[in-house]
Amino acid sequence: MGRLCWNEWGRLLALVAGTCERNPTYSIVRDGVDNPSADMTWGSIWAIMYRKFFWDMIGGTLGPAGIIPGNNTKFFVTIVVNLPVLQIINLLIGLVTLALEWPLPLIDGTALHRSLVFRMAFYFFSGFLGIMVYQTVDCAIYYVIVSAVFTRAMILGERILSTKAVPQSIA
Amino acid sequence: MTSSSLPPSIRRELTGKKLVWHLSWNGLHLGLFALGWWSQWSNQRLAALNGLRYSVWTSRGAGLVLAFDGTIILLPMLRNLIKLLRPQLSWLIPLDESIWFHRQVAYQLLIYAIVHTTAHYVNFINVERTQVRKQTAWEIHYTQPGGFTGHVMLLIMLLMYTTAHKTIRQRCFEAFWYTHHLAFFFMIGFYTHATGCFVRDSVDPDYVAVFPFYSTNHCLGYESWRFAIWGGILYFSERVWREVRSRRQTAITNVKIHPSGALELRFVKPSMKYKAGQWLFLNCPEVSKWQWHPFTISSAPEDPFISVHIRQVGDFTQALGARLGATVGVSGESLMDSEKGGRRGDWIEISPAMGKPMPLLRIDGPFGAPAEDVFKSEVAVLIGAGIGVTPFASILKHIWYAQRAGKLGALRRVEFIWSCREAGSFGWFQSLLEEIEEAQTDSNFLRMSIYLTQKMDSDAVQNIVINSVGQEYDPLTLLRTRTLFGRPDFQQIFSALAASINGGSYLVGREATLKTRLGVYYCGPNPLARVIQAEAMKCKSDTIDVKFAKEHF
Repeated sequence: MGRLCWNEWGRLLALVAGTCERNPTYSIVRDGVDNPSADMTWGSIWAIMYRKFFWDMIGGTLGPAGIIPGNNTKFFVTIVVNLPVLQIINLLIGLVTLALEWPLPLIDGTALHRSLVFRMAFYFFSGFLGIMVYQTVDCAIYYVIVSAVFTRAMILGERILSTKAVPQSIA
Repeated sequence: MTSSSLPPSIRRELTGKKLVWHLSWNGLHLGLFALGWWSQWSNQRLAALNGLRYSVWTSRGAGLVLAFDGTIILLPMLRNLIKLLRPQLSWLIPLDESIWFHRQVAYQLLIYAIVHTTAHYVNFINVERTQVRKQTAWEIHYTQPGGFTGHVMLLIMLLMYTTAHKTIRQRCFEAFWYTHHLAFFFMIGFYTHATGCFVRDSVDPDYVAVFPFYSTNHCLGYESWRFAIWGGILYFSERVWREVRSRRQTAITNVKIHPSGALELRFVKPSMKYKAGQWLFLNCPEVSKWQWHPFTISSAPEDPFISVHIRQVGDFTQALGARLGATVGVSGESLMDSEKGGRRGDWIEISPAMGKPMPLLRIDGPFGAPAEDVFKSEVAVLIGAGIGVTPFASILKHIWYAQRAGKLGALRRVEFIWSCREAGSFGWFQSLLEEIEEAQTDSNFLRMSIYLTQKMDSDAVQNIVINSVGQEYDPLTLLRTRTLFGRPDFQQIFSALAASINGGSYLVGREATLKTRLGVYYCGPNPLARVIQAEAMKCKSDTIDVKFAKEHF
């Protein structure tokens, strides 16, 4: 039967990884837009409230109020717990993902929107950042999958068109 | 926001029966959520856990909902069981809507999985911070059974939900179908999710040496696997049964190719009993080991064989045609026999290519079709749109056999309406209609109306007009019945029908005191189904009783 269109699948996966938009009705979920689960934007919002550097057990010790991070992870603890820097970056990544894949009318059809190389690199990088924060570890795994799917799309020579473009097979 | 400013797809969900459904369905889920919340909150033995407050009440509430949804998600997929239950239960639940129901459960599963997971992220970080148990958050997440199976299930859900999305499923059914079998691992994760004994009143999990390896003295979870697993057992048995049945003796008797290039596959399978209008899954291991494709049965139960008509349009159907030696090229103009007055010629019978024996065939089925009870109504209106006409091949043949045998039951008249864009691709169906039309002795029993909806330029219209005049057969369909052009006006059709039934001219000798039962059977796209249902229901009166049934693909 049909051939899988990897970039379409990648888009759906990326929307899950990136979004927290809740769909108020079933019909929107069905027709289209996305199926969020443990995702970057949602996770990041919670991560600002409950701050935790995921890898703090490395070199850390268990105290009466949780893990006491060791000296080796001090830098990351600073940018996650003291100041929620990574969380805010992750939140932005989630929003950029959303803007790129929904897509935002402003971005629709631009070189950035059509670029598979950008997606491959950006989503891989997102995975790298996501894995630092307790709440977004799963998203990070999803992002790496998304990156791999877009890599596959690129190898197969797929192209992403503007959502307003008429597919060539019809035109 | 007023309701008129909502898009129609949403407004439809919020009106009438759909609204009642959504309210009660969501109400049931919220009720379960509240029950789970309350049972955790009020349980004195779980006082230590209740120190986590809202997050633990939320996770337990959502957990109960998920236990419920995980139990019933497989039930609508029990095709054989549903077929068995259909006659007994059709008045209570719409069993034909099983995939729709499966999706409704899946949506709830997703929503409450988000709630449950979010709550647990808070739970575990607070367990670590308060040290209510001497554990760290990452250990609970990734080393304990509950956390680990949860994350695996989320990943599987990611893959299953995205590939089940309309855009992926329609373009590449295999991607959806194969990925959906991850459900096996999902269900294993689901049944074992609570084996870690997270909900307990003791310091450490109370593990024991015998099944289920934890003691219910201290492990105070819902024990939901005890009822949830029955859904899985039923579904697993169903799949095993399908395998067994499909492997029963099946032999291809004839392969025919029709002028339009449609392949007719005739086979015998003594173990299979079916009714008119049903469909089956077909698998040919030599072409593809794992692919099962649905086809409508085109033979009537009275026929000594079972047949399916296959249009060679996809990879699988073309490969099957090639294996049988019945490629589209074999049929051609030569099949148009001019000696028969321009009527359609016969089929060509095919023998397997290169002296190979006929390939092995596996059949799973039959399934579906509410049109089985066509003989219970006095007037049957059969409406097929586009490819949706296929089940009516079998039904019309079946009616024809019944007519010959004089066993029509209550059935007095049949209206057959077929609307399609262009009739050319349904050549095989037309030949069947020809046969049935030829065989009619009572000109009032069966009336066919064929509507062509495609746009035509003036040349084509001229051509049709010139060729129609004085001809015995319609130039397009080669039937005696003249083709009608444009979309059928169902409002007019049904009001005229109701008027002529009430006027007494339609059914001669009808008892005026009795209610006439009108059965409307439709197969085709959903939007049209709504129109037809609405129009058909307008016929309902003191004298006419209307039933509407639709078939899905």
